Amino acid sequence: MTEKKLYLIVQSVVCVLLVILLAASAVSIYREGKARKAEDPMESIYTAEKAAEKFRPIAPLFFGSFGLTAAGWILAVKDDNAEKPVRDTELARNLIVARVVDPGEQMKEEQRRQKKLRRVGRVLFLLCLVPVIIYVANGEHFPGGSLEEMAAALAAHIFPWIILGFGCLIVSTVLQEKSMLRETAAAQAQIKAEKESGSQSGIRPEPKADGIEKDSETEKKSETEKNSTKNCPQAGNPKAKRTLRIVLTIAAVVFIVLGVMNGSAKAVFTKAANICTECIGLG
Amino acid sequence: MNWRQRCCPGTRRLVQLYSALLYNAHLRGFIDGEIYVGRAKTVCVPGFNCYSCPGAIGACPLGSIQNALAAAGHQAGWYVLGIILLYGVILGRTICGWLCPLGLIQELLHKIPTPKIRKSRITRVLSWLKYILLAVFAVAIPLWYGLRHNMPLPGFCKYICPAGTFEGAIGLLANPVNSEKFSMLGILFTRKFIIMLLIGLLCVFCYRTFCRFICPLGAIYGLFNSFNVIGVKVDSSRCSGCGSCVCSCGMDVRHVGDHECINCGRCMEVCTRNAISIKAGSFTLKAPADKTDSLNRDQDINRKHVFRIIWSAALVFLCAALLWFNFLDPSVRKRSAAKPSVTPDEVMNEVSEGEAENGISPAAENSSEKTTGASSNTAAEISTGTSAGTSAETSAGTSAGTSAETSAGTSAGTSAGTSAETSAGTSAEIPAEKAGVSFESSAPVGYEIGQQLADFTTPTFDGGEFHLADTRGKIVFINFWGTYCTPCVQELPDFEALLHEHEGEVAVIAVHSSMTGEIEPQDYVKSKGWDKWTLPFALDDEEEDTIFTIANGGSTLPQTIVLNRRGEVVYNRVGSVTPEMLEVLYKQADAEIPAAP
Repeated sequence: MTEKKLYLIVQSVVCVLLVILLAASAVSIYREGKARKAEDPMESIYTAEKAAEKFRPIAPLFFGSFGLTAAGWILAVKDDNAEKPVRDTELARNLIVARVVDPGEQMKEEQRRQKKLRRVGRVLFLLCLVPVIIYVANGEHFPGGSLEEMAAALAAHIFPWIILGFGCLIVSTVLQEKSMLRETAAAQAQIKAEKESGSQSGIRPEPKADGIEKDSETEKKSETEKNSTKNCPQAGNPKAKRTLRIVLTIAAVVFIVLGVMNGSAKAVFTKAANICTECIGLG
Repeated sequence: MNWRQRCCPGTRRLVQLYSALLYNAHLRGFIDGEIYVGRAKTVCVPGFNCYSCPGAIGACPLGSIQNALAAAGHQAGWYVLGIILLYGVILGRTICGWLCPLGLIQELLHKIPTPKIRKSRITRVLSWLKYILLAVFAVAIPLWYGLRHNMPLPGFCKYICPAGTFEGAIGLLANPVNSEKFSMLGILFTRKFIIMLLIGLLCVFCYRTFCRFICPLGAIYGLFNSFNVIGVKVDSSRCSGCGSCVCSCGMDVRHVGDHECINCGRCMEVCTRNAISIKAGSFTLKAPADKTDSLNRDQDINRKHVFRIIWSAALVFLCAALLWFNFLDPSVRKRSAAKPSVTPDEVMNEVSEGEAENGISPAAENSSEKTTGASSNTAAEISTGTSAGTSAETSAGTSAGTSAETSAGTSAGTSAGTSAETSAGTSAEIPAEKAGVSFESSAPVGYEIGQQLADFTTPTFDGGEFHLADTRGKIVFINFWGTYCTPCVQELPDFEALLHEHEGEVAVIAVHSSMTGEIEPQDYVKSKGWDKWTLPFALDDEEEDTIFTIANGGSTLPQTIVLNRRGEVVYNRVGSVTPEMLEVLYKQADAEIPAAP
């Protein structure tokens, strides 16, 4: 293990430890405060003294982590992999597949599989959202009373479905990625076969990766580039975009004026100047 | 990269620092421990910046959206909708990359040297989570509770938002002046504190965790990314589709400029075809570095010249903003003027003189801590133009002090011993002395524990009047509330129950801030059926904020003040109260000065 790696691991451990200790301190203050409040309702759960008492032992670690970070920064220690481009399977697949004129059977099968997996993943995700929508749409689950009970019930009833939904999407994505890798491998095999056969009619040339040719006024796209448009953002209709911008900007100004006239601007000011403490989590 | 290159912040970092400082230009708030309450808070800042931060000069757009949705039944939130549309069309998610303080904090946390979790197709899937959080917490919950229960509940702010915890809670509580505000904290804060820590930890390992997976505001702005005016644009005639831009991007983009793109411009440096630039419409703000040919060099020089002028103007604007929001703004000057200008000795001399005139013994000595509140209160009365209250009541039948008047204020000072039929809850004859029990106080006037609260008179919603002076002999509960404040609305029934339980022994008044929301407090009370209650409601004076000033009501709600039978403060705190607490407070005040036999 190199010194750099060791430093990174130590820094990670310090960060995680700090968070655990801070969270544990907050929970401890809350538990002790709640017990005191049960005996005497006038007792405060949190006090400045209690907070200082709990966080004092963590202070050396807290400031130590600053020192460690500063040292790492001065010595330019960092995760070298972090700034390397992330290999995107889909992008790589698009580039390789764009070179193949006529996709083979295996490639077509993988493309069909990917479509199916995408559809299934989305359908399962939407199905998992149905209980969430049913729960949220039922007003009886949101009584006007205890908001804490509401929040706990919300967490208990809808979070598992959301997690399941995302789980289905993630599984579908992972399987799609594997299929893309197989498709890419099949495309590469096809390109290699074409090259070995000498015909080269079934493949397109690689796109140029270098800069603009200074002689040409317009850079002509190669066939490959035209076919790899999946990786390119859609240009869209500039006129339509301009029109949309103008319409929305005018609408925005009109709404602002309407808001000033109907008092909703004043309402924004009231709530920003006279803050409800629990509404921002001070409770 | 050498030391200088590493230390020197780039343009984007400078813009982020600039905007963070501008949004929080009220720097004295960090020293005073008070939030800014000036008119500039009508304007929503583009990025994430909680309005509970002591330095914040503007409103948070997401908080405003939720509040507008919560009040949708009473008023259409055109203003917030217009602001969000305007920001979205002009900037889109350029705000996230350049103008959001929370984005800056996340990027700084990500600089902590640890192994990093890189993006993948899984993180791209998880990026859809923010749309669910937007739909459930930022839209459905406020809308449902607002329409169905007439209760304002900003779900995201209350249960999830780390900005509120970091900037608001910690920003306010870190100041020793606000140490008593710790009493407000409970389970909600504990949960949000842990959520904040977890998000912070994830940001260390994973680039912009909050932006990518949680931020509902980013989700909204992302909808505008395909047609916003200022942002990263790709020249598709030059683009080869190599995907280097996507591979080097830290966000979960599928292509540059999609709904995940924060327009940071990092992709410009890796594009080998010079296909990417940052544009404002057709004007190029930033072209790829070192790749401009001679044709564009003149344009580049002109651009740099223009940017120098813009930067200079921006710095001048920032300096002006710092000056204005810290020294010149009328709301800041008013608060400064309310600070003690009368020394404790002067207050005590006035008390003694007043008592000597009326032929009673001098007031008992009070500690200097107790008198500071009195002097500040007196100064507040002077500075707000109300009749200057001096201090204690004197012998039975006369009152030396004058009561602070509200806009509909009646006579200054009522003599103890007269009965004035006011609103329900304060009425009946209140003898100043009964069988040797005196309800007159010699404590100095103020709002701190042990001090006597200055008298005030206010009209109530039922057409009557509430005179604090008439409540001598009763235990008084004053509650400051707001129609837009959920805990305030939830605890008012407890005050009504208290009034019924200790009928005749207790006086209660619920005072709404002069700053009203979408619905007028009178209409709100009627819609809730509270106009049939015994509990009187009042609206504070708009011009002077009189009752709030007298009781040191700040810009945080709810707040409860309890006075004993002599009108002396026994409790004055921000935060919700439970029925158990109200009962204990009643008993404490009662034990201090029992009712006459």
